[in-house]
Amino acid sequence: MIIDSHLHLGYLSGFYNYDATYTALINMMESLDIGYAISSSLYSLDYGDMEKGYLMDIEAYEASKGRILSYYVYNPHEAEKSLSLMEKYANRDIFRGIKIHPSWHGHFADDEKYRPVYEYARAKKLVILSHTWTESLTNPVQKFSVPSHFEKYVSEFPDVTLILGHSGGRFEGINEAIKLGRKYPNVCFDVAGDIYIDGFVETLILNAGAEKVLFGSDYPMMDPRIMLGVVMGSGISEEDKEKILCGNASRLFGIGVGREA
Amino acid sequence: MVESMKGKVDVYRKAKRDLHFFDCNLWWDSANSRSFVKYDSFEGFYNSLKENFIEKAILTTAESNRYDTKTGNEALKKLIAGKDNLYGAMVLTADHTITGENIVAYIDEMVAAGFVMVRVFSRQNRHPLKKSSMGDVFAHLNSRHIPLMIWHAEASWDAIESLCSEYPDMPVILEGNDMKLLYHNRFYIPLFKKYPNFYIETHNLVLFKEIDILAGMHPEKLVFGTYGLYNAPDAAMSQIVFGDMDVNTRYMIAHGNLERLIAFIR
Repeated sequence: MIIDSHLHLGYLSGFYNYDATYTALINMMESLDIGYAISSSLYSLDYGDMEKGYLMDIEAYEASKGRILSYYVYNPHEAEKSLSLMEKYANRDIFRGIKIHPSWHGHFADDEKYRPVYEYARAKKLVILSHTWTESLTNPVQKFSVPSHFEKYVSEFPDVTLILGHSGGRFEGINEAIKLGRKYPNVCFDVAGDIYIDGFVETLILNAGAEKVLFGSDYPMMDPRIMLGVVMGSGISEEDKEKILCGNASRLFGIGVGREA
Repeated sequence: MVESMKGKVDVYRKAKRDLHFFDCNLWWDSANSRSFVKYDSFEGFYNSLKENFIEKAILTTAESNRYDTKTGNEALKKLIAGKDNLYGAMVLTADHTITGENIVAYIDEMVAAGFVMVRVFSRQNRHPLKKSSMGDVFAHLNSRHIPLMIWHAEASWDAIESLCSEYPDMPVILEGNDMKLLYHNRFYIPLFKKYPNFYIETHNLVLFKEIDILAGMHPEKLVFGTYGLYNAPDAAMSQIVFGDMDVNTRYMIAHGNLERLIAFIR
């Protein structure tokens, strides 16, 4: 069984999306033996209507018989509302963590506006998944999410697990992410996105440890088959592949311990 | 659990081997410093292709792109010499229009030396893709059916469409790098449907299901490429191995379409 810990339900504007419904996601999961998926709804994360996004998350959970799980979204522009909605939709069978996206929300990851989400995650024992990337000339908002900006909170909240989504994204960001991960036990990584640099998976495992790396696809923008092939074809041991594709997410999110429907 | 993983990996490896991959977008970069895999020599890189199940490839050198086209093309000629499974992709600019060089003779000489594709980087090298700058390049490629490969970020969509319509016998192969190709699918999918000579190299077709859907439209116009040595070959291979397509389509994309294009060169 595979667990995809970084994907999205819904549509992103600006290009032609194929079928991004939960039905398509369930079919994809069936075809690739993905047992569980943890989504942050694009309706909450990008479009910005968190509550409607959560209702869509709940619908997907029910339709998938408990296999599509979700992240809450924390928007630093609406901190109070974000936290109150997490309280309102407090079903931890469905919502297993919190997603933040400093690039889309336009605040540096070490901004004080992010303090409440780390406090909430600590109090509720929730994992945080953040978008991370490398500074980019073509996409300047990525500067908000470079891995070094996360050090402030991971050092201050050692009991909160932070997953560096995309592991820093490009060569420089990946190296920065690895430095952070080596220094702080509460920092993990995922391989979601178009991070196809040759040797990426092997480098992460060698430098950060197989226990810290999770499989993610960034579906539907990214086809999960691609990173699945990269992990399967990588030069790491079968034990480590199993940890990346399933074991680590199972441990971090409590999947497979009887909480699922 | 681990045994089951080993079984899956073995099946995946066998599927890769059986597809006989022919990579149309392979790079050699002797100055590559932004990669996790380092090669001490070209021979070491060349030997790695077999381990990665790449049986044949069209090679471009970064030297042609980032240093000087002629210097790089000449270096590439030496790299592919005597290697039956390697072909060359020459990079051209508009310099011949300035110097008066016979570009047609140059292209013919390179084709005789094993080059089967032309690449242009018109933004990076700062020249338009018009006859006023490029002279007889495209007309000659058209007459010999030599493919032209273009990055989506290196030319306007209008320029790409003009090339397709004005030179119908010149295969125009789109490849995507830097900016995600998926953001442009409202441009390239209509071109893919409209122009028989508009092809897409597969490595950057990363949007979920896109490769399957394009294969359903025109399986004969998708050509396999990895963007190695920068990218892990599995990123491109897995799309074909796990693709929602019949066996024949899988073979066409993995190697057949590219072999056909090369066979058509006059």
